[in-house]
Amino acid sequence: MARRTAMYELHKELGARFTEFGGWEMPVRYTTIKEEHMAVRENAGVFDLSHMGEIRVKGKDAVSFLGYVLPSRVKSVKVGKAVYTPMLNENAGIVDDLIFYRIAEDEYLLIVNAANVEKDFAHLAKHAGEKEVEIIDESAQWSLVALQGPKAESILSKVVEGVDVKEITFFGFAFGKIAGMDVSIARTGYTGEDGFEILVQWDKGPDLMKILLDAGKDEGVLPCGLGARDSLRLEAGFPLYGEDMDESITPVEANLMRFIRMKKKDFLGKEALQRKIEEDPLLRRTGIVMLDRAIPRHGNKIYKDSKEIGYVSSGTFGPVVGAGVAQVYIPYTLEEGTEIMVEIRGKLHPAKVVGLPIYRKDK
Amino acid sequence: MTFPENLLYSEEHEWVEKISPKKVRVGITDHAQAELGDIVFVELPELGKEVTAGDTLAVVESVKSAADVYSPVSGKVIEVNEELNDRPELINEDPYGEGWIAVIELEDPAELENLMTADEYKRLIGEE
Repeated sequence: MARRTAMYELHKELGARFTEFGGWEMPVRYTTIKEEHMAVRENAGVFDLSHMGEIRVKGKDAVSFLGYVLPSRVKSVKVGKAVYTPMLNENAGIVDDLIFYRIAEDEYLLIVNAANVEKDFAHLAKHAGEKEVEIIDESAQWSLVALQGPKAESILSKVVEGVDVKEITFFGFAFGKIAGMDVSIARTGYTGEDGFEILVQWDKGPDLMKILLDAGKDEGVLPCGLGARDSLRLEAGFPLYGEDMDESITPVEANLMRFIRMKKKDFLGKEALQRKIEEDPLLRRTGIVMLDRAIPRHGNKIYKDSKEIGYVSSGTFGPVVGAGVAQVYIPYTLEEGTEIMVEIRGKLHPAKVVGLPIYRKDK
Repeated sequence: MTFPENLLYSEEHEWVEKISPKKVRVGITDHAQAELGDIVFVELPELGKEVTAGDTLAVVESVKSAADVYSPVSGKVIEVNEELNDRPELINEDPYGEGWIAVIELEDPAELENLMTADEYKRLIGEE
């Protein structure tokens, strides 16, 4: 049976419709996906992300261990800063993508995808070997609530004590209090808007969500489900693990090389990744917008000049764009603006390559 | 949620309106549109298409997913609501009126007896 977060009853009170995701019963929407999507683009939205996993890595060898098991910067990350990175296996296949916080010199907290918690934990444990590190799955201890949108900062400032929200920089985090509850506030997100992801003790999740909704009610804040989370991240160009990438894909094809530090002496998967770079694979993740009203979905084939050239890895209706949008794997030699065709239910529909992100405030 | 008494209903959440002894207009119910959420695309059937009850008549897509609309009757598609190409949201706004999907010329009017009344449909979806 699907698991429920501490906020399940609150979601019901707020009128949520539920869906199963990563083994969890989560709100897919409370009002409509479009309305929630636009609330985040124009005002702010509050999301329950407590299904996501938290894995703490600490100890004398935490720096060298994570430095090896993650391909990004690790050692040079300052305490109080967060980093997004894929995690790779020996073949440079993507095991998961995650954000880690450097909590202390020898302590990091990893925020991982709900469906991958056990896999990630086993992967980390396997590669820890003789290193002096503790790897602790704290997923059951933490509720995670995201407040996202241009008004997130002003809303959060009303309720936070002990830290000036304005001082938290992009991908920085700080500890503070909200209504007496200890919280960790990170300026991170998955929507393409400014915003925060806030960790609080598991059973305090509903209180935190209520406080944020209440603090933002005059500014148009809405509770948002996974439906809007998906359409927002798709427009913003963020990949979704399990749809846009998995262990058969490396950061080269997934267009995530900017997060990888190839200059590092060694990391898990480096050799294979180096080979992949030299191999120069043709299909790479990019973005498209439909030119008619059809909606592309995961698995749709892509054609150009009657030849199959790639596939849709995830797609939906993009409320800001006002058309179907998708992340796709097609030859990177195709320039932005190139017209292609997407096969949807046996018919070809025209689309245009736009690159990533598909939507940006200034694009 | 409304379920007009003058319409017939299918288990797959379509409604059927008799507009002449041999013609019906069809669409999806208020319940179906609410379940789907914002409809952003409708793939309409081609004019002249012959359908058997239970065949896919159209596809309606919400932001989240695509759902088949099954033909509640057998016959020939003689009109489609072209307006839905530009305004698919009409199905959300007015499912029994401007949000109609197609008009079908019945092959066998007796087939209508297989459909449900408004009360029976309400019972099916637990709206009673």
